[in-house]
Amino acid sequence: MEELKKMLEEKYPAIDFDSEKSLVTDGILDSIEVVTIISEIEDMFDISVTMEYIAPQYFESVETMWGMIEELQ
Amino acid sequence: MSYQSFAFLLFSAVTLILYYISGRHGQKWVLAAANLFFFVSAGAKYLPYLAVTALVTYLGALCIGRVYKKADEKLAAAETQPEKKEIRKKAKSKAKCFLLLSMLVAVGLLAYCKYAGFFTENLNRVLLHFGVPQIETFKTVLPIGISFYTFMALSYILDVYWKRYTAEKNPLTYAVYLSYFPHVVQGPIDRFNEFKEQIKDGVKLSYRNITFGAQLTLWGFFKKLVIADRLGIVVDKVIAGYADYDGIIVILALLLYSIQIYADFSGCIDIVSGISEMFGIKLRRNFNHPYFSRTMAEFWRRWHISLQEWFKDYIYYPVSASALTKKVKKFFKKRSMKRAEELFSSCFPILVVWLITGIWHGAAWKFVVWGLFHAALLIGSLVFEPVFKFFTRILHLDTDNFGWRFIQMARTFLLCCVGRIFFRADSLAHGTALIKKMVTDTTPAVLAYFDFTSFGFSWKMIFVLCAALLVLLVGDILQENISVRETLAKSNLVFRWSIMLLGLIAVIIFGVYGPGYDAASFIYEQF
Repeated sequence: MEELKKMLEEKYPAIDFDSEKSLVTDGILDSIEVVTIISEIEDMFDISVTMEYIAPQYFESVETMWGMIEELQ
Repeated sequence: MSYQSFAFLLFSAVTLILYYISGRHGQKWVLAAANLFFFVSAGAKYLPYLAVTALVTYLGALCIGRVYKKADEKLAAAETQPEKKEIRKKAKSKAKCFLLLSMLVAVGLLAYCKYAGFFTENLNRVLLHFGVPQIETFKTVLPIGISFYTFMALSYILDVYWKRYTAEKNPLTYAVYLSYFPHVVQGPIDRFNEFKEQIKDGVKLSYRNITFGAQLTLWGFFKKLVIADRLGIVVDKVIAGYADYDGIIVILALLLYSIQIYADFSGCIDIVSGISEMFGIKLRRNFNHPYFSRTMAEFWRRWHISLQEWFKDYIYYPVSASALTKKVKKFFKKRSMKRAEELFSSCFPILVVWLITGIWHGAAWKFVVWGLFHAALLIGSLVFEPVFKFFTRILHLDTDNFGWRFIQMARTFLLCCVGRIFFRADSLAHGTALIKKMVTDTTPAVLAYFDFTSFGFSWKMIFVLCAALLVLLVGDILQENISVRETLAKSNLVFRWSIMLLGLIAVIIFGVYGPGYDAASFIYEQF
């Protein structure tokens, strides 16, 4: 999960990924940023994020993103 | 039965009474009967289209659900990973067949009703060019609400296919959702799971729901009847007879059109959301004061929100995750073209979304141009983002001060107005003529001596319009920061009811009801 968090912090330094737990619901991440993150995750973990997982609940926080990665692995 | 007619208010009131006296188990039946009555009053001939879409997507989702259930049973019994993989693969491809079949019928009906005429008309142009005999142009009816209920049906079956929730077994619940009279004509495009959650256990009569709903409905009537319909008189006259006016009056009319369409559409949504709230069913939010947006991307997150979210969830993300997008991204990646890869993954889906958004609004080239205009703006802002950031940094611009924010809001509003030239024009040629008029024949000094009463308003009425616009602006500023209805609910009884009565009187006295102007049509009803 640290690897994922490091990537997100490098990409979006203005976002506090430790405290933000509703990244999509609160509009902190928009659809373009979600797609960029998906792209990075696919490259980094060599997985394919399918449509079942492209839903707000999987991108609300680092933890939910990590949960999705684990499921896909 | 138009949403702002007296008949609709009476119909809603009777339905509301029956709804609350019918008890928990009878409420769905009351809604189903009311939806049926609403549709039949609009024209019984439209009903089969809705029935086919509802039936096909309902059965399709059930079949998908059954395929997944069987697959889960087999997965529980399977022992090896390759075996499980094969079961999942087979289930997915079977489910996909049901999905595609259902979508084909629903989208096919929409395409036939909305685009068959447009398609044959354009095909004939091509045939004429090659000297081939013309084919007969399709004459189809456009069923009321088809663009909206088809999108709701598609969202339902796609969500079931993507396992976001399970298929609904009760056909009544699904039929009520799809045909629900407050949202079926102009949206919002609600989602099945959210809707079902609100009606599954029945709704208890609540003073809060009734008063909050009534307040929202009244606010919607104010926007529609006092502002939108009055502005509509000016806009229609100028746009239709643009040749007789100076370009500056055409520019003014287009600026007013942007306010008209906002008051009209958001007014309609407030009316139906208010009525629905009285039934204890909250519809999706469709507007969030869009003219306070600082960028076009933000504007489209605040305007017609339910449609934008639909496109995001069912077009933008699937296109982003499609094999084609992945293939092109891989191509750029192999050549270490990181920026091109990022831009393509964002811009290509935007282009697809806006092409479809344009076509969804109507079968005409002017809507395609309007869609492409917005795609160009959004893509342009992404491509030039590093340049904007660079200039912001070297010029030491404080992007958070009020002046800068105001400039950004004004710029976004003006860009919207430019796009709306084609949206409002009768055709592509008409839109081009309007632009030509504004660019080549504009004398700002005309504003100083132009007789604004020539639109059929007295100065007193112009004053009323300006006052109403001020109320709209103040209302929007207040709503941007606080919940006006919550604040009203906490205020004393006399003040609260005085505001309600004032609003009611304003709508009755200053609303546009006169003959010669069709007060019954909402702009978005045609979509």
